[in-house]
Amino acid sequence: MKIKLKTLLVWVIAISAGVVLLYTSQSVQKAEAELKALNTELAQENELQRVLEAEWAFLTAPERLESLAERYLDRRIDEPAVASRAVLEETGGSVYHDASFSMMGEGSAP
Amino acid sequence: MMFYRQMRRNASKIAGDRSAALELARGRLVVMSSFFAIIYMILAARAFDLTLIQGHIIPPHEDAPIAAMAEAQPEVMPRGRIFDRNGRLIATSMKMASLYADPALISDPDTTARTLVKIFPDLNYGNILKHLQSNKRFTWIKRNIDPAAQMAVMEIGEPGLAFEYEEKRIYPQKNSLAHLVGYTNVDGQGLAGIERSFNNLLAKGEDITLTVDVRLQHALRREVARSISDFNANAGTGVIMDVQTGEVLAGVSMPDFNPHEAGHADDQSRFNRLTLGVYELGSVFKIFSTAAFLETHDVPMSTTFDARESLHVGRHTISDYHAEDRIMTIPEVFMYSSNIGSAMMGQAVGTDRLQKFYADLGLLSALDFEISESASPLVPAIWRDINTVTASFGHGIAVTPVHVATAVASTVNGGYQVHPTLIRSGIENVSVKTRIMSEKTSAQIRDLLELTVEEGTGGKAKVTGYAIGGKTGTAEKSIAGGYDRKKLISSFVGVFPATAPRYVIFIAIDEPQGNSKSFGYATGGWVAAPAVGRVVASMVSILGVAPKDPSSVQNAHPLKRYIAVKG
Repeated sequence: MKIKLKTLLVWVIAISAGVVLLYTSQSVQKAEAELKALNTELAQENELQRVLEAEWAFLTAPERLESLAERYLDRRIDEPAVASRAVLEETGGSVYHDASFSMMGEGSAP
Repeated sequence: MMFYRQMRRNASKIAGDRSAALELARGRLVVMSSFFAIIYMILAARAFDLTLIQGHIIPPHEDAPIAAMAEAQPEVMPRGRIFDRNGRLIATSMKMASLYADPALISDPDTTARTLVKIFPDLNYGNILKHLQSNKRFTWIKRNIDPAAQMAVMEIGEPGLAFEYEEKRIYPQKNSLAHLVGYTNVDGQGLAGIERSFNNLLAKGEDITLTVDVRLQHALRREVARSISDFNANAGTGVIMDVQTGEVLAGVSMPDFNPHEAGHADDQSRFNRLTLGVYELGSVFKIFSTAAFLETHDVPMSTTFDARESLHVGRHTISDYHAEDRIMTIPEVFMYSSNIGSAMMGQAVGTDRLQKFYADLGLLSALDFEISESASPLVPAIWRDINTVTASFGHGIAVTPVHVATAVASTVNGGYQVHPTLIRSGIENVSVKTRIMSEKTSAQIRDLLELTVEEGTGGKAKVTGYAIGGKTGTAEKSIAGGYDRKKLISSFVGVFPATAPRYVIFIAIDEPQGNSKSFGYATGGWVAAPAVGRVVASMVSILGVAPKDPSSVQNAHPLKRYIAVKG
């Protein structure tokens, strides 16, 4: 039986098309699975970030920091840092309010 | 033989005739068989794909109705977060796991119950065992468990234990901002404060940045709480405001409540004194009447008022609390807080002009503020001349603490109207500033406020190294038919730094009782002024404000020459 060249060609094209299709569908599925995994991971990371953010806020709440400072540091919190004027000048800190306010990034001084 | 040959010849002839037809049939067979072959190949490839490649994906159990239900729910955005001006977290939402059990899937209830009690010591073993042995298909074990406990439960590997996720609102600053930020119900609907007024935005997952600074908030709350306990008071409130922008940097109403358990708080604690409480504040209003007087009368500070005799207006008599019994200059009227002097100033200004001036300061209209729990001031229904007189020293007119802070801000910032705000826009306010008094009047008021702290009733607000201005207010609470002399609202409004104010700090304490340290006094100067002083002391540390240059300190306040030395 003699197979025509044309037939052979059609076969080859059909099979290779099938192979390419299978390959493509496999890579799409693989990519989809990867995407899903990444999205899940992202959601988990976001959730974790929210949890850590809340935990950080709890741990650094002024009330807590103050009680820790009172327990472990030898310093009364409500004493103004008057004595630190010399230090401020030495370290290039500003005198009185203008520059120190802008240092806080809180907009323009009056 | 011949026949056979003939037959073959014939046959080959027939074959020759039919060969074309056979060829056609064969072609059709090839097409058909290749068609089927391709179909089978596709099927084989698909079968290969489904069984060997995707075979490991286990479809969800059809008999897990709750899991299926949870999956069917669309992914909702978590409720938006709330931040302070420096990006500190004030409110957030978190997915919290709640543990439930499907008793039908639990093979060994006894061991499972024992393990669960080990993870959650607050659970009762017998109770859990009872639940796990029941015939139900669903029973809650514990709601809102933390991630570590969830991990521990997962490690048991019991298929009958599963989680459902619910969103829970978390307030890391706890009570500190409860009244401003508000709270939500279990379904995440905002019920008070910012949570309520910006519910739609937050529900869409949008974040909000407030103007408050959690550090200043804490300092203010601590000092208000301290004054309440030191003077055995009922309640207290305080606010810190930026005098230029009207931004509320801190706002406290005490007693307060835990926003995580707002449902358990009593009405007293939930009441927002900052924006809902209206108080007759007394002498603090002398700031506004004096400003109105100076704005309408171009007179020197040495102008005198005769405070020797009580002032009679109609059938009312105005007398002084700290009676000086003499002729007083404007600075003296202000720093000794003379009702008679201020009443005279009010009379000189006149009803229409004083009313207009108070209205410009926002003292006569409902608060224009971002939280919906806000009250309108109590003002005389019909404003007669006697109302002008009493309003000059803060009687017969009741406003919220935010009203006072706003009006003081507008008075000391150079005379521009400010509007209180709680939401940080992040854009520079470009709106046209409305001037409500001259720069000169504003500067004069600043001097008077500084003088009051340096020499007068506000002395306890002094902070070494820093210039503070302020005014005390001590008002008797109005009761049916008059005032109760024993029940006071003692307040102090401070501006800081005194010469070029950035902040106004107002504190009011409700029904303070004098103590031994205050020699029995419970006035604004003894109760609220020191609290404001301590708040400023904290503020300078928090905001990094350097003290004033000692070499530039003047020996005496420029207004001091208008004050007679008592002999």
